Amino acid sequence: MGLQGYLLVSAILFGIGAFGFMARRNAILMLISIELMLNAVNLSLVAFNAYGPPGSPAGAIFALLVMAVAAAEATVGLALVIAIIRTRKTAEVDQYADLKE
Amino acid sequence: MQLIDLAPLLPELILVFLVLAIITVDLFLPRNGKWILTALTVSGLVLVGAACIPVWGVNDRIFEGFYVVDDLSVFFKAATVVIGILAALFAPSYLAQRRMPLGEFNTILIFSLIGMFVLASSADLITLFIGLELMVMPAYLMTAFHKTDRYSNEGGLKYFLLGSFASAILLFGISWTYGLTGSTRIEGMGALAHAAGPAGILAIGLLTVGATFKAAAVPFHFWTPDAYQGAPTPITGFLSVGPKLGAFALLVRLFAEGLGPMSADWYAVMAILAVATMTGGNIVALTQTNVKRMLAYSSIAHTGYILAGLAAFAHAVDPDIRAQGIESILFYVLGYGVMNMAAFAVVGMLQRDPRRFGGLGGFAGLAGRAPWLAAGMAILLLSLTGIPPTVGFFAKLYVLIATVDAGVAWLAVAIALNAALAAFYYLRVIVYMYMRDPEDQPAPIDRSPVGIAALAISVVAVLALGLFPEPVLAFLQASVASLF
Repeated sequence: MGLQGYLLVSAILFGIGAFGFMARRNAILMLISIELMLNAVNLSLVAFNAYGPPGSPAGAIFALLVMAVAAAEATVGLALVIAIIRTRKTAEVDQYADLKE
Repeated sequence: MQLIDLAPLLPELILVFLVLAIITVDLFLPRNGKWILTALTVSGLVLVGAACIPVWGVNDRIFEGFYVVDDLSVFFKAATVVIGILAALFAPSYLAQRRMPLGEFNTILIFSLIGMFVLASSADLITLFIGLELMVMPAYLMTAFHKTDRYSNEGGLKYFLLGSFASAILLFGISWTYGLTGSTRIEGMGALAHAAGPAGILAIGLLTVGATFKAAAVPFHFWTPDAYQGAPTPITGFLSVGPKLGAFALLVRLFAEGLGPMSADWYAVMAILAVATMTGGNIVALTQTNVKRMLAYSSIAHTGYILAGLAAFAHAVDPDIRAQGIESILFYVLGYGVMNMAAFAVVGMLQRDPRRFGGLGGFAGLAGRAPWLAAGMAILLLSLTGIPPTVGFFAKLYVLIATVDAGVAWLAVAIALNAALAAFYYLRVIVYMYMRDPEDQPAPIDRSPVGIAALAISVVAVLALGLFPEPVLAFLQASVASLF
């Protein structure tokens, strides 16, 4: 499997994540979908790094940093979900409709 | 291995120490001594602003080329400091009335400012992404800062979900850019021009969607009104200008610096987005009766005007006219930052009663009840409309000149028509303030001295920048020159 194979898997993963984000209405599942998208990015970064110009680990380092950012994002996201469940008793985003025209 | 010279990082280092100082001092302060935190934050930020002076003119890359301290970044940092000081002054009284902790607010605010600094100074896509996330994650938390308030929670979660979604899209674009060019350097992005075909278009498309999402351009704006309406009002003021300044730093770095050599390819997209954004934002703003939500939509319209500056840059060929496009973006972002933040602060002052949500009725008869506040708000609204002699007029004029000189006069016409449309909803608030009778039980007005002082400073700045823009323009021209 060459670079194209990895990129195909990465694109499929990204697509599943993006679809899940738009189709799912539960805040935590939407958060998981975003994590899936970030993992797809990581896969493409390390694949580009492995098949790219030799001697530069920029892609692999980027992937490590993206993991750290994803962890921080999950922390912030879960904190926000917990805060909203305390006032609403539900994680379904369709129920969060107080802010409108 | 040689040690890195940290002198160009002085402003960032002071910010980091300021955060640590705030967290530490907060632990030992009694409940009624929290005002010291505001004093500490503001004096620290003034120090950061002073530290920007020695790094002016350095124009050097550090950390092996990952971080650039050029005059453009110094301009963004100086504007960030102004916004940070205003945020730290406007918020305390509003937060105290609703029992929200001041120490955490100042901490999160400074973290977000550090992110904006890193974003403005990024010379590499890795640094750019880290800076962006460091800027927006505190912004999500600030939106949801009123933990027990359902509106604040809702706004925060929506902002977080859509913002993270946009970050993932931007990141995928960055990954493909890296794959196609073999480098994560921003200056190496021009090589995308050689990567013709669907992959290159995909990369640029993903970058455009991700970046304009962050700047709240139509059709990627739908998180904006909810996040802005839900957040505590002075924080909304910060959100509408701080992360927006960061988003335009991102756009200038990515598109003007990175993709500048191939600007003919993305000019049309940026011009269409600009017109869609200003028109879309204005039309929805017309129908709003809640001033807070109206200002949220109008901030989308302002994004459109600023994007027109970027489109002017993209269409021009002559370097002088291209520079003019970037200058118009920077001047607009600065002027808009001061006037919009102060306008939100006035809305917050009318929310002394926590059950008030910034309805138009609260402004009725304000001229009789608080003449100075009404006069200040009127000046801010006139500036947002773009009426001389305010900074709003000059900022719009500058974008108009840039678009006409770049040969995209139809964009200038779109801006002028939109400014006329916007006049209707801005002036309606002035009509309410000066020509309507107050409500039966008008909302009490928050007259905290710190907030009033910050408002006075903002109004004076709005007038001063409109009457005497030359010093700032000279500063701008010098900082943009470092880009070319």
